Amino acid sequence: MKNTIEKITSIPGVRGAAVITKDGLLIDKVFYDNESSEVVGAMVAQISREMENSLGKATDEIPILATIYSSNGEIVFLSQSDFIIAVLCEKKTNIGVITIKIKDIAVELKEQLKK
Amino acid sequence: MKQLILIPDIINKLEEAVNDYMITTRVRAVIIINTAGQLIFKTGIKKSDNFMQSFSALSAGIFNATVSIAKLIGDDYFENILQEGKRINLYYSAVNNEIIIITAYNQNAIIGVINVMNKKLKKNILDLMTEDDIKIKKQVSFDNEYKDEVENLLDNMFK
Repeated sequence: MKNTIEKITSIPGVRGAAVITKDGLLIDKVFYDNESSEVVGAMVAQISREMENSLGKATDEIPILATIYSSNGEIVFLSQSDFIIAVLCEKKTNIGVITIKIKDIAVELKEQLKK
Repeated sequence: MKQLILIPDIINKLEEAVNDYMITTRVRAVIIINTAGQLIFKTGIKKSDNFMQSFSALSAGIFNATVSIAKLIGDDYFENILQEGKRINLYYSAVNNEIIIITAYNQNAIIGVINVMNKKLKKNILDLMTEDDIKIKKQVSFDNEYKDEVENLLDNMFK
């Protein structure tokens, strides 16, 4: 799993990535420290829950993909039926590339979790 | 050693911290007990005193049992314990080896958020705790005039 999420860190400006449960608990992460990954995980899970409540439940076919913009950086996350992938990146990062990569990683992780 | 002394000012601050925690996490109830099984604080639960006494004693028992397991694996105590039920889940969190926060929540709450916000609540509670040697009440002192008056009274008694 680590090898899979590590692929996204090759994109310039990516400071870390994490796979979390829909309850906001950390499954695996790369780079950023444990405390901030817990906070990011909890925040992303809460936003994802709110989005699911208003837009409908995220499925593997139709996941929820969102970007949180802040003054210092951006958080891109993709919510599927069983897990959420969150990527923490700097302002200069190419969000388009991350969006493509995050979808590929989600497919790979889904297969890994099925095994 | 630090202790949580429940004077009105501290209770108000504790209530404020717990309410913030409840709003952010959307949990149903928060109960604070000590490891002896005594209830210190509760909010969001409207059960009888008997129920609360039983709940506190049994919860403290559960925590104390896990302390023994923690010691077996070389730790002082487990910081967080989770019990999942069909409707209500309980999240035990130790502030120190004497005070435990019990959070009751349902499907509306997110365990990851509870985990993160609980750390903040624990910090707030630790900040409210005071050292043992700090005297809360001022010592009663008698001035010289009062002493003289009492001495005169006593002297008069034996005249």
